[in-house]
Amino acid sequence: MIFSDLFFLYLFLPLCLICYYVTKNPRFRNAVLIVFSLIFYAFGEPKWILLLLFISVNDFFLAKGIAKYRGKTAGKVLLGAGLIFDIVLLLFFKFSGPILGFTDKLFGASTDASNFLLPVGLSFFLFKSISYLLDVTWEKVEPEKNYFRYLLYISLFTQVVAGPIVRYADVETELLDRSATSEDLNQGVNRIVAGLAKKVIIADNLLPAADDLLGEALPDTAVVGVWLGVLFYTLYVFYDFAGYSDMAIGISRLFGFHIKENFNYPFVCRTIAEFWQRWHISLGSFFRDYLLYVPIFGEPRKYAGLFLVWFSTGLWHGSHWNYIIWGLYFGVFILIETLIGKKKLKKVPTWIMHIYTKLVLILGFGIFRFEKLSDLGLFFKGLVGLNGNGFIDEFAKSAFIQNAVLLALGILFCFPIVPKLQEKCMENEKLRPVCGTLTIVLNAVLLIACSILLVNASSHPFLYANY
Amino acid sequence: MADEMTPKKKRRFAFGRVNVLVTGLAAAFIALFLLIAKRPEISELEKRRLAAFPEFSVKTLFNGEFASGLHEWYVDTVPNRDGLQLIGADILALRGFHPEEGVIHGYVPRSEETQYVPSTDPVTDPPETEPVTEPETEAETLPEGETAPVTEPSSEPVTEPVTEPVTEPVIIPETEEIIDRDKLPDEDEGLQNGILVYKKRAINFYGGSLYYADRYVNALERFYNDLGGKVNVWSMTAPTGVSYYLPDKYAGYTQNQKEHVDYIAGKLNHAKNVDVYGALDRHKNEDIYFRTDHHWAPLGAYYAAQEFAKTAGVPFAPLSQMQECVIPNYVGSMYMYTNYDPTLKKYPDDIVYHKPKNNYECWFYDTNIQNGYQTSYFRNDNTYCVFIGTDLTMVHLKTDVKNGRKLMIIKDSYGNALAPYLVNSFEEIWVVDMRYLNVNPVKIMKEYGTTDLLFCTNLFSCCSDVEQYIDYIRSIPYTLNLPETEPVTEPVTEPVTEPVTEPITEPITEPVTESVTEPVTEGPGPDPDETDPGEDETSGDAEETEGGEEA
Repeated sequence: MIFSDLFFLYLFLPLCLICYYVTKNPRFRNAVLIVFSLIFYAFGEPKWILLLLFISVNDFFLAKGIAKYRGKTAGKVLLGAGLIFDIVLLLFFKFSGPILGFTDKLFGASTDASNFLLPVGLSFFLFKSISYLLDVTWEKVEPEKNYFRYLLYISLFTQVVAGPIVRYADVETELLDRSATSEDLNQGVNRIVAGLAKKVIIADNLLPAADDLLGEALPDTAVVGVWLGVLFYTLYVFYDFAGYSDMAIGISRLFGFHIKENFNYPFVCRTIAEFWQRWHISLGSFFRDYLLYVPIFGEPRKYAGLFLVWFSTGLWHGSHWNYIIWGLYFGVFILIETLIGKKKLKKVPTWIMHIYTKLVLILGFGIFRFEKLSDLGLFFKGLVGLNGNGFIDEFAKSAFIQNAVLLALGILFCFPIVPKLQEKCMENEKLRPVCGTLTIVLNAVLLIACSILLVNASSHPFLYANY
Repeated sequence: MADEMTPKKKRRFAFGRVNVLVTGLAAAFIALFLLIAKRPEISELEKRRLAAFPEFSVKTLFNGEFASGLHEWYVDTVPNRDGLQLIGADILALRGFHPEEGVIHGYVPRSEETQYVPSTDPVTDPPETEPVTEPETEAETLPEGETAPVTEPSSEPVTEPVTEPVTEPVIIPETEEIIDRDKLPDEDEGLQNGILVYKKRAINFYGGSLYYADRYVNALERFYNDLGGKVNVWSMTAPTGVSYYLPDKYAGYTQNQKEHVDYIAGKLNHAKNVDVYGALDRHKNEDIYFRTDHHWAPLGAYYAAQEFAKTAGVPFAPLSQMQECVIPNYVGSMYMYTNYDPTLKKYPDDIVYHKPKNNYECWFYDTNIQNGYQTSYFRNDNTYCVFIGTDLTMVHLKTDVKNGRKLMIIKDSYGNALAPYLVNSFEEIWVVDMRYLNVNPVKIMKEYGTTDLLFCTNLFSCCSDVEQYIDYIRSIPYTLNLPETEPVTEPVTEPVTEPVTEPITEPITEPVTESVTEPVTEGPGPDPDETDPGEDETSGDAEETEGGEEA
């Protein structure tokens, strides 16, 4: 089940809200959320619910042990066991399929590698689990005393499938008790509708446009077509994941949970380092906090740590080589920026920095798209016209004309136009009611329009639900 | 709480509450609509049966099938699905501009055909990939280069059912049977490539393979052999609109259909080519193809039928001897294939089709050639489905023509529009779809004394993978099960693998209502007007522009 789905929006979520608000008893409310979260997770793939439950039980008791033996060998052993368990589990599910596929090719065996499917959201809730164990070890949090509250933290349906990777410390008190104010509901509704619109109106329509240009037609696509295709794809990835994150934050807020932002207009960045402070913030901060300064060969090493982070970031996204290249690609640019230094970079004209960052990002998402290295090669050749398809053709023109409005909206909303406008309106006494009314009307219209489009859409799962 | 607020915050607070209320009401309305309103079972727009409510059991609950089935049912059977989809299409159209001259939808592979180097020799010895279950003993192939005489009866005279019907046949007007053919390709008819919308017309770029063209030719030759060389086998490879309407500047996006048609024609040996490419080319300024649909228009089928009749040496009725009907405002399949291009909706087609005026009977069967009933060839439908409704329908036409010629058309949906124009040309016509037929057509042809076999498919199919269907139906065991309602007066003594040359001891599958002793139209079968709601006579949409009665 995904958020941008009629079943979720108009059956699952209303039922959950009704049951949740039947009483103010926090225990009952937690029970409701746990039951609905387990149903949500089990939907369509019930077997993995056992894995989720096992991990939650394992972490819950390990954390208690770690806290009890903090600073002692036993505590370190328990932490090591927990981390090894989580990482091995993640590697097993993420890479068994590809490794078996590779060995099948190598030895001519016939293991069905497709049987090794990644349980939905495993990367996300295992990272929550890892952060919890480390935070307990480092005394940032005390271990949760109630298993069901910990289970709620791990399994909450607003985050279980595709994050954000919420830290236990951020929701610790809200797991105990919480209330959703009118403003929470208002902001929650706004974020849900905004996220739904990003996903259903923009992302779901940019993807087919990108596929047309970069799919089977890639060998025949003209230079402009390849650039246009990768621009579509870059925007698609952003709106797909940012839309999901908006909905996750909005739905959480309906239940009184306040989750940190996962995106902060990443394309306004002046440097690649800044981009990663604005893009998938919960993942970036996870690696920064738990991996960047991990001792390598006995002591923290700045540059080695940096490449470890970017290697891991790439690997986290998938087992194909392109993801590792993609991660290291960003690592190289961040290293260059680090070597140049922030002060010198600030002196470079803004427009040059914007051209630099956007080019790096768009090419980066090109690497992200093509899992086959042969396709990646075709892509790069196509970018500079080495595929022999000319600079522009009717196909590229057609793709642009048909999606011109969508593309314009996609680029426009990459920048914080809406918050700026809202801010201006709220400052102006006369414009304030107009802004308020417009928000209300727009929300209703977008909700209805998205719902109608969902009737037409074959299911487009969120990209990041694959990780 | 609100009392402690500043006026500014109060106003914001009020707007926030109204926002939650309005959005919540909109969501509640939609939720109720989805919960209460009647859910459709079929989609007219997509021409498919929608997902059914899943069966509940402990097993399906725990293996996830129930949950996924419930989800699929809920999202697939949205009330007023078709109407909402069309509104959604209008919303989608806002994503860009749709100039009437030149918009390409979908991807367009332009790479040259590689790897396969077609041979230049005609097929003389088709590869033997014989049916697994069929012990063919009658394969007396004629000497090379010699074709079967067109008027020669192929076997024993066909015996009509010898028993009187004792029960009425089961009426299944529109079977929705889904056939398990996992190893066969999808039943689409090409359309993998991009579609150009140019001057109000949707044009599907063509991409076929000569590798598959060779396989198609071989499959036809194998059919010829199975029929003992006693049946005229014809190949009608119907070009699509791209051959005639593609502007020059887009020529690089498509392969040349003429080259592929000629290639197939050159490779055929015992099977003979029907040159519909040339026939249609002579009339390309007429409405021979729909602008909004991937099929040819009935007029195109008419010219193709005319060419076939000329090639096969049978009489042919001109349009003046047929009754013209018009279905206005038809927005065809290309509308959906182009993800709802608004130009196509703005400029719909008219379906101008023609009904034969001579006397004939039309019998519909399911894919097992069972459950037959007499009805009209033309359905109560405002789309291309006006012809026999669905490709799952197998048809037997019996006409008043007396020339000893009996035809079977093995077709894709292009054949649906073709058959009515041949009602004045053959005594009997079987119209079967190669993608859905569950009975070996060789068996039918031998039992009915068919003299001519016409393969009618569009070129996309011929040059993709249609030969797999042709080989598949040829390999179906010769086990014609009788309709359950038909009394079997003579035990079926033949084993399954009985050679086809043996006398036929089992009653043929013609429905028992079609007794030779009674006029069919007044026979014991159900009155078509009463039992077949799909029949065209009830249609108020088709405008008959010429008088006349149908048989």
